[in-house]
Order: sequence, then structure tokens, then C-alpha cells
Amino acid sequence: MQPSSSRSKAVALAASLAAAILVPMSLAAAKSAPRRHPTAHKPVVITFGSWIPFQDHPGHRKLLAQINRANRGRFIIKPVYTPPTGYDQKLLTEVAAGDAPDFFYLDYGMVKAFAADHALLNLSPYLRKYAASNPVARVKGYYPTSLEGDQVAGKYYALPFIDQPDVMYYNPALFKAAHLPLPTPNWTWQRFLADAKALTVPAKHQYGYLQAPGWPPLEVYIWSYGGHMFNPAGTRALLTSPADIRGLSLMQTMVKDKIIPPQSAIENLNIEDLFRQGKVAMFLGGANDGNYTYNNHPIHTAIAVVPRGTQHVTGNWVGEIGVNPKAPHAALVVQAYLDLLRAYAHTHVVPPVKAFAKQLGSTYVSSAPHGHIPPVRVPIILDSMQYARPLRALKNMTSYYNIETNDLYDPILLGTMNVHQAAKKAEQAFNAMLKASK
Amino acid sequence: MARDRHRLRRRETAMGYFFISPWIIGLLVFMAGPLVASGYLSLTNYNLLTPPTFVGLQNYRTMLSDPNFWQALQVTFYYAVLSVPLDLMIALGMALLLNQRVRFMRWFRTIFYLPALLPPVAISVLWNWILNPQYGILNEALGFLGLPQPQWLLAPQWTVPAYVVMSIWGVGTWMVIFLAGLQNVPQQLYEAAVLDGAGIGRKFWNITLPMISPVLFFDLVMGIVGAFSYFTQAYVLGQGVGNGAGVSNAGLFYSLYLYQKGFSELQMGYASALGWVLCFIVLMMSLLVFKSSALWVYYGGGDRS
Repeated sequence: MQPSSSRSKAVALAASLAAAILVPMSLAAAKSAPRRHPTAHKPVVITFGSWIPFQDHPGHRKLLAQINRANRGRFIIKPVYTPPTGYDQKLLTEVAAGDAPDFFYLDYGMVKAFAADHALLNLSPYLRKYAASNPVARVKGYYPTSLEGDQVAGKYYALPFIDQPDVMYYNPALFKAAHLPLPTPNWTWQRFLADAKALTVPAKHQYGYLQAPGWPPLEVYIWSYGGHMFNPAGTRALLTSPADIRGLSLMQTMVKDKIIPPQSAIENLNIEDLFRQGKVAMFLGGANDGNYTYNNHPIHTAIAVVPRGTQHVTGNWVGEIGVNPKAPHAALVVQAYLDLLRAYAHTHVVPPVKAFAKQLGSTYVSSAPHGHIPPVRVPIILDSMQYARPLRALKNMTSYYNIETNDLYDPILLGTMNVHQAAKKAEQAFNAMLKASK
Repeated sequence: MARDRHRLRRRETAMGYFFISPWIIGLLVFMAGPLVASGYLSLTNYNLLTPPTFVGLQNYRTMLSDPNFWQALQVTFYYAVLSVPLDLMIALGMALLLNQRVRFMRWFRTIFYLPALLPPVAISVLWNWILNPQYGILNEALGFLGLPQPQWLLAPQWTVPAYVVMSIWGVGTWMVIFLAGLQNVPQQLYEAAVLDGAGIGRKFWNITLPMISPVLFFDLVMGIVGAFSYFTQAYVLGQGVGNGAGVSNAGLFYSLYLYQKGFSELQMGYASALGWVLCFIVLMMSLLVFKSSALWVYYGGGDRS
């Protein structure tokens, strides 16, 4: 009798243990699983992953609410926030785990790597289908450079939602105090360096310009003297070419002339804040940033085109959105995706679709005075779009940035190598990287 | 009768296994499984998004010609060689001071132990400011004393020393273990030594050190393991300078490099191979310390064997 009793006790104990583990797990799973199938009354929940905290952005929230209202009964776009720090890694992990949102933000350069691993939906058939009804589905309407990173073997795997050119922000009050004329559309790097020197007042810890490792991008300096990081085939680095050396020498001059703060002074700081605080007279930044306010207080800043070397050129950052190939109801997801891209066209500077870019003055910018870009800035931004270039999208952007920082920015800005030595070292490292990624 | 006893033993064995099964399952699923998986993955090319492809020992061969692998090894060894002895000495010194009979000793012990309670990320953020060459309090203090003010994390030659200085912040845990060891040293040994005319130095060298050598041994092994798996501080402080690993990769610790390869570049196969090499190195270092312990660790009960 006793063995049977102890056996039943053991069975009961095991059952309780199993229940204690399994019941909460199943409840949690049931609670977290979104609705994946439309029913007569319930719309499909489509998840949208981004680094935008929607709860803090009323403009973005409103925009989503409008799309969801217009598609009542069909789908609801639900934002999924991932903090910007480590966004790429987190997204990759989600994709690998099969748990990625239905469509999601992609940082520049990620598309090619994702597409190569079948982690993005081929959008080409859908773009053909919706080209007539939705301007964001017509690839011919885009700035060509904004689509450079989205194509693999002639197929589109993502679309840009922003094509942000770099412009030169400046502080007119500091120019006035130094009795300097304001930048003109044809100013050169030589004039820029002279202005920056005149605007530097060491006693007041005031500097003419800012340069940190990684920002502003050194590619702009190289391109403006006609140089390139790589040959057209992307098989060889060209950093020791005379044009590249000339471009890189700009950074060395900035250090030598002390027109930028020492690296020790800007370590751990948000460098753009130094410009907003009036401690730096000029700052090369994205046109979407605006620099209209600092700590919610309006500040007076202006923009100019980026100075030229032998030619006008500037950098741009293209933000993209791709679709998860494993998303159920792909057709519906793509519709939601295109709706969102179309709505985004009126909230980002610059919209990558040219027809929308022409209406840049009416684009909603929450931090700008009266919610719109000041008219004086519009032609400067649109001019910059004519010659803005994105970085070359490589399969391994992490290695690219590592080499650039370790072998170019750091040694030149810290003065541990001259430009020729740094360029030679970086060229070797880039060539090794290209060879390894073949 | 014997049959009943046998049945009872079997049932007890089964119940024993049943009760430890959560731990066994945890061990198999969360430790043994990943261990075996990483062993296999180290022989493959695997980027998380596509299935792994078998490449044999290629990842291990690649390591030999990978300059960053050697840089990571050099940085980690350099850090271990500097920080482990220094931290042990400081922890022991503090424990000796906190073992004195003075007023408010409990307060002192609490105060000295407090930094060890802070999370590593918080410590790193704090030290990021302390080590700032321009505004940091450390350079302010050095300047006040008329000493040179290094560029710390901005100068490759000062990067590892900066991490070593920061590691002193966390010696509280070792200090407490030393303190426990010191309090177990029989007082009569000191009394006898005093009668024999021994001074402070002689007492420390001939009584204290041998008596706490098992504690020292434990701290040394843990220190070596900790130094070779040093990650959080390197990751947090590395974000501010260079491209995640300090200027010219001067802060490229082995675990940080492993993380970069695995989660930034998605080379999971290579990262797994790096993990196994790290495991081998730590194992060898620990074995070396264990082997040497026969020469310098004293167990009160006689021969340890």
C-alpha cells in the first residue's frame, strides 16, 4: 500500500512541477503572440521595427494612426522599438531567430548583406504591381543615389525613407563677431580653413570647426578633390592617390592649425551639442537634424553648402526599410509598408522621391520654426541633393568603419602619423578586407 | 528482504534523479548543449542567417594570420600580467589594514567594500569621466601633484594601464575574502612568534602569508579567469574612442574581439573558434597555477593529498 502511495505522491509532485513551469509559459506565449490572421472583425497586426520611440514622437504616432484609420478592418501597423545603440546587432539576432518585425528600419549598408542571406523580401514584383497607384513604388522617381544600396542583381530588397544630404551649419553671430562675410555657395576649403582659423578663440574655448573620429565623414574631403576610396570595380583601395592625400590633408591641417577642439576635449561628448552651445562656429551635419533648438530653446543657426575642393560634393545618409520575407500575408504587409513610406515622404528631409522633394518647404519638421524648414534653407538642401553621394555599400561595413577609424581618423587626429603614413596603412588594410570578402 | 531493499534503493535513486532533474536539465540545455554546439560551430562558417557550412579547421588556421587575434591576445595578457598581481597586492594590503582593531572598523570595511557592489557598467561610465584627459578628476589630481597627465584612453600606450587603474576599484570582493582568511589565522601563532622576537615583517612572511595561501591561491585563479574574460568595461569604455576597442585597437580585449566577430560581423563560426582557444588558454593557465600550488600553498591539515 505504501509504495503505491509514495508513487502517487511522486506523480502528483511531478505533475505540479510540470504545471508550474508549463502553465505560465503557455500563458505568456499566448499573451505575447500577435494576431496573424484577419477575421471578419479583427484586422491583421503588422509589426514595424525601428529605432524611433513612437511614444516620444507625437508626429510619428499621428502618422501611424492616420494609416491605421484609413485601413480599418484590414491591418494595424504596430511599432516595435529597438534602441539605436546596437540596433543592427539586435535586428540581426531577431532575424536569425525568426522573430523579426514584418518590416523594419535598416541602417545604410545592411541591405546587401541581408539580401545575400535571404533575410529580405524581393520587392521587385510588388513595385511593378503598385507602380501605377503609389509614387513610392516607382523606382524611376527616386534620386538614383538613394537606391544604390537597395539593389542586388537588379532586384530591389528595400526602399529608402530618407535621403539626407550633409550641409554646413554655421553660427551667424560668431561670424559677425569675427567680422567675417557669411559663407557663399561657391566657397572653397581654403576659404573655409581661413574662416575657421579666424573663428577660433582659444582663450574662450571657441573653435572654428569640429572633427571627431567617424564624423564628419572623411570621404567628403576625399571626394571633393576628385578622389575615391576604392577603384570603380571595388577591388582596390586608392587612398595613396594624390587626390585622396589632398582630401585627407584637410584633416591634418585642421589639427595643425588648431581650428578643431583636441580629441581629449570632445571624448564622451555629443559633438553636435558643442555647435548648438555656440562653442563651435561650423559643423557639418545632416540636413534633417536642423539644429533649430538646443534643450528645447530656439537657437539661431544657418546652413551653407559644403565647401568645394576641385568639385562640389557632399555626403548623404540613406535610411531604408525592408520587409521580412517570413512575414505572413506578404501582399498585405507590402501594402502597409508602401503606405508608410508614402506618409513618411512628408516628414523627412529629404524625401528620396524627387516629386516629394520638390515640396520640401511643406515637409513637416517638428523642431523647426512653425513646423517647416525655413524657405532660405530649401534651395541649399536641394542643391546639395544634386551632388550628394552615399558611401559605397559593402557587404562588411563594420570592417570598413573599423579600418577607417583605426588607420585614418585616429592617427591623423591624434597626430601619431602623418597623412601619407596613415593612408598607406589604411590602403593595405582595406585591400586585405576586399580580398577577404571576395 | 534483499529484493525489497534493492527495490527501495532503486526507487530512492529514481527519486534522487527526479529531484535533481531541474539542475541536470539546466546543465544539459544551457551549458553542455551550447558547449557542444559551439565546438561544432567552430568548425563551420555560420552567420546566423544561413545554415552553417563545415570548413574543418579553417577558422583556427585563419586565426594564425589574423593580426587582430594576436592584438587581442597581447592586450589581454598585458592586462592580466599587470592587473592580477597588483589587485591582489592592494586587496591584501587593504585586508591587513581592515583587520586591525581600531574604532569604527565596521564602517571602514563597509566603505572600502562598497565600490565592489556597483554594477560594472556604472563603474565604466563613471571611469570614462574620471579618465578623461581634459576634464577628468584623475588628471586633475596628477596635475596637482606635479605628475605627468597621460592621455589614458586616447593614447594606445596608456589604454591598458587605464583599465588596470580602473580594476583597482573592484578589489573589494578579494579584500573581503582575504579578510576572512586573515581572521582564521590562529592568534597563538602570532603570540608565539612575538615571544621568539619576530617583528611585523617576519610575522607576515612566516605566519600570515603561509596561513592565507589557500585564499591567495583561490583569488589568483579567479583573478586569472576574470582577466581573460574581461569584457563589460572594455565594451563600455571602448565605445567612446576608436571604433569600439580604443585607439588603434589598444583596448581590444579577447572577449571584446570575440563579441565583435560574433555579433557585429556575424562570424559565429570564427567567434566559436576564438571561444575555444580562450577556453584552452584559461585552462592551461589554471593548470599551471594548480601545479605550482604544491610549492607555495599551505593547507593547515598537512599535505592536501
